[in-house]
Amino acid sequence: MPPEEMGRRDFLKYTAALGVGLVIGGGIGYTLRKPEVQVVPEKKPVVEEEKLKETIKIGHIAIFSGPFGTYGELQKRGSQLAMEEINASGGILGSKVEIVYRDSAAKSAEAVKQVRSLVENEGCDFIIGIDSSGVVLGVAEVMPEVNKLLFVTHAATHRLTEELVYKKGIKEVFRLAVPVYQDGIMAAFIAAQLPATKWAAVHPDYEYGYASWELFQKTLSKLRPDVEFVAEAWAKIGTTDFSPYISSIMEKKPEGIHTVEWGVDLFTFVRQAKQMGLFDAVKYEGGYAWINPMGYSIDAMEALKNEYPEGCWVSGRYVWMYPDTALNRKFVKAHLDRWGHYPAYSGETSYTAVYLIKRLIELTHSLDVDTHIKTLENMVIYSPAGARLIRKEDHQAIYEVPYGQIKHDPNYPIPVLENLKAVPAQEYYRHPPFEEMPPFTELYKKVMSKA
Amino acid sequence: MELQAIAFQLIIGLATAMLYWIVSSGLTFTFGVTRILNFAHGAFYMLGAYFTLTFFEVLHNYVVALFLGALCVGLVGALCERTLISQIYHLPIHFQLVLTFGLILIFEDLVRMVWGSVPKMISAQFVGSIPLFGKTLPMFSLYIILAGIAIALLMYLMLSKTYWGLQIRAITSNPEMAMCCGLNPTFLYATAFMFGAFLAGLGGGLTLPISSAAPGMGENIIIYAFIVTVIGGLGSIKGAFISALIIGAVESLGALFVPWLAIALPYIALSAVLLLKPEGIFGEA
Repeated sequence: MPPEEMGRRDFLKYTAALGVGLVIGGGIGYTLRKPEVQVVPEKKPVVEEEKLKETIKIGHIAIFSGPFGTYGELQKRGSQLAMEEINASGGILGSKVEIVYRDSAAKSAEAVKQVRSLVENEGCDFIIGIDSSGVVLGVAEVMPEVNKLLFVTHAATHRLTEELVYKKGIKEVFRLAVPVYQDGIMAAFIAAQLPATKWAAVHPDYEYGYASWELFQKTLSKLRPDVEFVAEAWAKIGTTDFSPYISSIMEKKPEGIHTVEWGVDLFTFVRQAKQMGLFDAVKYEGGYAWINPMGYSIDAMEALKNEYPEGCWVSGRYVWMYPDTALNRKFVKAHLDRWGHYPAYSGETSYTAVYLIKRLIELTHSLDVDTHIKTLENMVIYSPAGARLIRKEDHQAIYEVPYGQIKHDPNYPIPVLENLKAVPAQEYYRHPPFEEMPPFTELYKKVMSKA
Repeated sequence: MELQAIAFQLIIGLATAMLYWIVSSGLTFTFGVTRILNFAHGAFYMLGAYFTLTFFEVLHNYVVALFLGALCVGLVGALCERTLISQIYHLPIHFQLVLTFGLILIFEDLVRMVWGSVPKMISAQFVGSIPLFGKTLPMFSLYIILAGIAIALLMYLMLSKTYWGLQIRAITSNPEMAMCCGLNPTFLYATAFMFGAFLAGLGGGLTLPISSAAPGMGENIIIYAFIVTVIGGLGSIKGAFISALIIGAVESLGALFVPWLAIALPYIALSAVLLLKPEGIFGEA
């Protein structure tokens, strides 16, 4: 279905729908998740004309320079769209929203400096964003010190939520994007259904690559004891020539490839892998045993287009065609109208982060960090990517994102996904220390049915 | 492991080596003549990719686009030399660092303004492969290898068979004496810088069909270019060629035998050379 035009009315309806959705979500979250919670936070009567602050300021830190600078742009499209919508419909309790964008340059020290500057010099009330796993671990450490909330919209290392939030107790950090559980555990669920028994890896040589591959191997060997892992290649970030890695992998005759390459490196890798016959080597009847968790990134689809072979298994931290809800359709349409591009996964997470801040302030009528933390824990929010449960223990938003197979469709400017396979989130957001999961499915269904 | 696999991996590594050679050739040449350590060399490399991209979109002929693109970068280089670089020849080296680093930032933002921040690709060129040692060698590896050899030949001819090359060699080995003999240093430094930028642009244009044009794409490759240049000896063209071959082979065999260490091997090689022969393999002490 090609996107329709969206008018001002739709826009207002959509904004209203999102608001209602968040109220319902928040309400259900409180009533269903934690029976012991007595008080359902009601919307307090709006205090006559009294604003919390003239302007609610949000600092948005992402990569805006260098070869991965696209990722900042992709995030910005989401947060700016949300800001414009919110300001057009009266702001947050009458306060305008302003977002200050800063470049992390993909460096931890730089991002930490930006956090301090945003809080101390710009007077920001919240920080959102952060692209890279290496960067986020550094930034999380300073959040208690600056005493502001951080909503992570992209960086994926599970160590953030498992070690820093859960074990170390850094309560100021929340993550709205799927962590490496999507890249490792969920990827293994897909791999387990494919005929391939010999798997090989081509990964970027840093935290994210290692974490994803470790979770993938652990999960897949449990699901399919017959598989073996025959080769791995660790490519430096910014590799121009992948051929030594590709040929060393092909030497071990793999039947399946797991790769978490992303951004420009992914474009280079796919192009060279195609020419060296790596795709042909992992072909099976139903497509390619090629699992690329962040393959359905909008920048990759726009750059590679039909060069990414049909039948490869890819995903994202959100894919724009899932779930098929009114709210998601509206979001995709608004994004297309505003920017002329389909929303990237980090665009959705950034958009949701800004709306979550709005909801949070409206619910609590406060800018107090501790009040916000209490409110957020075990909250369910309804967002374009579906219902998200913010798990109390690790502050990880739990929601499902499907994998699908690349399909070249002449009706769309970029490849689409077919044969979508989703696993309920509670099945794969369960890496120690979270082996046991609350029964989220029923709650999830209820929230979704209200949509 | 079979011998064939190792031989094939070395051939593949030769392509990587040639890529490093192409980028470092201009860097080391510029330094050799002008004594300017040009950090903006990576930015020229990026400009080469973008100019080639635009010419290709207009002309639909890759080879022509490549040369026009590199030529434009050469002109940009000459312009930079005349307006900015020429002001700092007599100043200490840290002025070079600040100035050329500033150029990187300026060019990266200019590229973003003109071409946008989303990386761009052109249709794959040199598609296909040839059989070798029972495996398939992609055409793009072969083309990078040939391009690397062609550039080595071009530099050899330019420097040893032309009058310009003679002058360049003269002013490199003894600037004062060369000037006493009536050579024009302004012209020679400008053209040397231009030639270095041209080579960087050629490198960017050459990698375009196998990867993409992206803002800041020179950041990573320039690190390798510096490793190659330092191992070979700053200013030594022969040294850069040999050291690129070493780094390519080390990296390629590393990927095959010790994948977890592959990324560190070039740095280990660099450390070893700095410890044993700090001036580089062909460097002057």
